[in-house]
Amino acid sequence: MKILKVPAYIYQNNVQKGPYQVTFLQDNAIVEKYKSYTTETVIQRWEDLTDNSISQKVNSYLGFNLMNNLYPIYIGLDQNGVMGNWELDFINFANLDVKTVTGLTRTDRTQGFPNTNVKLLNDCESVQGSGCGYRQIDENHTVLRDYIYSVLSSSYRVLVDGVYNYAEISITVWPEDIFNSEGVYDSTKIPVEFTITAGFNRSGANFTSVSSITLRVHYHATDNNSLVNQWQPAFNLANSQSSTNDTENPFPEDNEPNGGDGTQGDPNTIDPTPVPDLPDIDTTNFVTIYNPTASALDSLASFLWSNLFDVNTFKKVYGNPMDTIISLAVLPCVPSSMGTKHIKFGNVDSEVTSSYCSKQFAEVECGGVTIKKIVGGFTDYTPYVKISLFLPYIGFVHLDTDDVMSGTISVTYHVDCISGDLVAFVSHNEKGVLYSYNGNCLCNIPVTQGNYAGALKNYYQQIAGVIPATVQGAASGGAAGAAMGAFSSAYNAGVNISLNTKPTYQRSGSMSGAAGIMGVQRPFIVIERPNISVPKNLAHYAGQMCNKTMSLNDCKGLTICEAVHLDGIANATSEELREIETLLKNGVIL
Amino acid sequence: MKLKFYHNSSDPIVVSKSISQIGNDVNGTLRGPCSVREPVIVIEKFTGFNVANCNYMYCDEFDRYYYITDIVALNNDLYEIHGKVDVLKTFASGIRSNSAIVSRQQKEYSLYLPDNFYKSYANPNFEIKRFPKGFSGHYYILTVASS
Repeated sequence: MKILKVPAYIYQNNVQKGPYQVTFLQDNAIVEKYKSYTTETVIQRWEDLTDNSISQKVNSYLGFNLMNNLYPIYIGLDQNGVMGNWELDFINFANLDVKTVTGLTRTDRTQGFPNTNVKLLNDCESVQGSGCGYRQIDENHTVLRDYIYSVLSSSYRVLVDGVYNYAEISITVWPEDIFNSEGVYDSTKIPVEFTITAGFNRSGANFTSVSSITLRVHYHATDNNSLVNQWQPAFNLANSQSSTNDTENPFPEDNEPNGGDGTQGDPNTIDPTPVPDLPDIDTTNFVTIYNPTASALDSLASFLWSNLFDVNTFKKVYGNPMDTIISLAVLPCVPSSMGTKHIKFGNVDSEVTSSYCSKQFAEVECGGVTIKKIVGGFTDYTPYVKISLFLPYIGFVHLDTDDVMSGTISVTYHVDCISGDLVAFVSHNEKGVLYSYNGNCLCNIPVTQGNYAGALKNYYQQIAGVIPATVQGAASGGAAGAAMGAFSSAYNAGVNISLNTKPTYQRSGSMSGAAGIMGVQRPFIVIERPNISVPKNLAHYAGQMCNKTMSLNDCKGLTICEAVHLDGIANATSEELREIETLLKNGVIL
Repeated sequence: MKLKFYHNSSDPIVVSKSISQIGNDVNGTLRGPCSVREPVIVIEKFTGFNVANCNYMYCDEFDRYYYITDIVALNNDLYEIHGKVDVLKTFASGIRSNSAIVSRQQKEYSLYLPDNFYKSYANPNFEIKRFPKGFSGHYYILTVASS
């Protein structure tokens, strides 16, 4: 893919402005065939626009003289061969050697002039001295005068609706093979694909030959009846895969060698990862997960120590009745119940009724919170804003502000009800899962002095084939080992977090197991925002960050330049030019 | 050479200065070599206005605007005017026709670019939000080897 950019900037009345950028992605076949093709279009509102100032404006934007005698310039006159006064002013101002072509129809003029000595273009070479045109329309958008001053189809238009002035510059570099061997333009060789690039009147434009188009629009208008608003529907966006994006100036600017030869695709491509489904694993016939009530547990204890318990029968399978109890624990959640049945120890029925679960895993959805930008600027992001998230059974974790700002953060837990291991997924409404942390929420209730962890280990080895870290720790060190196992996981996670974010204070320790049971059960988020001090009228006294290449004529108020090359100041001495450059870099008020 | 005297009320860094002419045009004379950037021009004393009230002038011979940096009374009849060229006002149209990489601007800016003029007080603001839901209740889980 190669991006052909058609940037446009619309400056509205009442100082409101909206850069209006259109980016075309054309398929490789077109780009490979017509490498010299590129189009730029700029729409800009200028104050005090006169005929004579047009070339200044154009030159200022382009950085070179659009009209000069290096390239033939033809004036298109109507069938009567009349040249208007404003056209003469235009020519005199630019001091151009102009030839005239008479008898042209409007179609001729908008499509370009035949038999012009057009410079053949090399790959990716930009146009110079292409030409410009002029159109004036009234408030009803009726064309009052239409004038194309052009070598080919490049055009510059001024649109006047009585209130606003808009100027459009369209510069088109055509593929080499539309010229014949003498450099003469052959309109029959214009490929159909290029009909989409003839400026901004795109109603009826044919996008079907383009593999994809990304249309980026920034637009802020205070006047809903403005001419620009009325232009917008003129864009035929059907099947254009249009999308909006805040990137005004996609970087890098070009894809020439020596760097900047990336794909120039949208750097904000996001394929969000959703929270995974719970493992769909039924409990095996080797174990049963009961969810007894407290009274059911009392009854069960009574049964275990009553005469009803036939030890001889039981010993056919187990050496000790407690061997069948893998764990008795308290959990903050439970899988959905499948009904009730008698609690059995091996093949011995206790005749104590309890609900039981068919699934091993449970999901706890905690909902989401929205994190909003306060200022709408750099102070809303790293490192100015710090965001911590408390996760029950895990503790505090630090979130990268850049990840989560201006979005909704949701937390979802997946819990293994046998081991108590859990995973908390922290997801963003647009970016999907961004973080996942593990912990443990199992609070074991002692049943005997036997090592319940051994049973857990056997269970996982024989049934699941996996030994969670918590169980491994328990197997080697009992309850303390289990706690250490959980702590180790949380600790390692904590180490990773602290290495990847700027230093901050730890808000909690490990919140696993029994500590978690006693802790806060609902996640919460702590957003620490800077208390910003901004001097009053900062923009007036010192300006604000801009970092754009601009025509100085478009700058209003204090302007501090980073770099400037002064051209066209003919009367200034070299010392004066140096002084101007120094003043511009120190700041001037335009 | 013809001189116009003004009162300039604008900051020196303003390109389009707010100037008001004082009196009529005045003829001046160059005495000896004269720099176009920092000219020294002698004018005859006249009664039309007080030249000491002027701080700005235009010289049509040099086609430049000047700050008046000093006024020296040579005698009862002659003033020596010291000027320094105002390149911003003089070459305003040429300056405006150029483009530049603008680092800071009064009207055209982005708040998403870090700016060292923004300072932070020592006391931050806190926003704490609870999630709508969480864990609720505690449940006994009995895992038994049985079918």
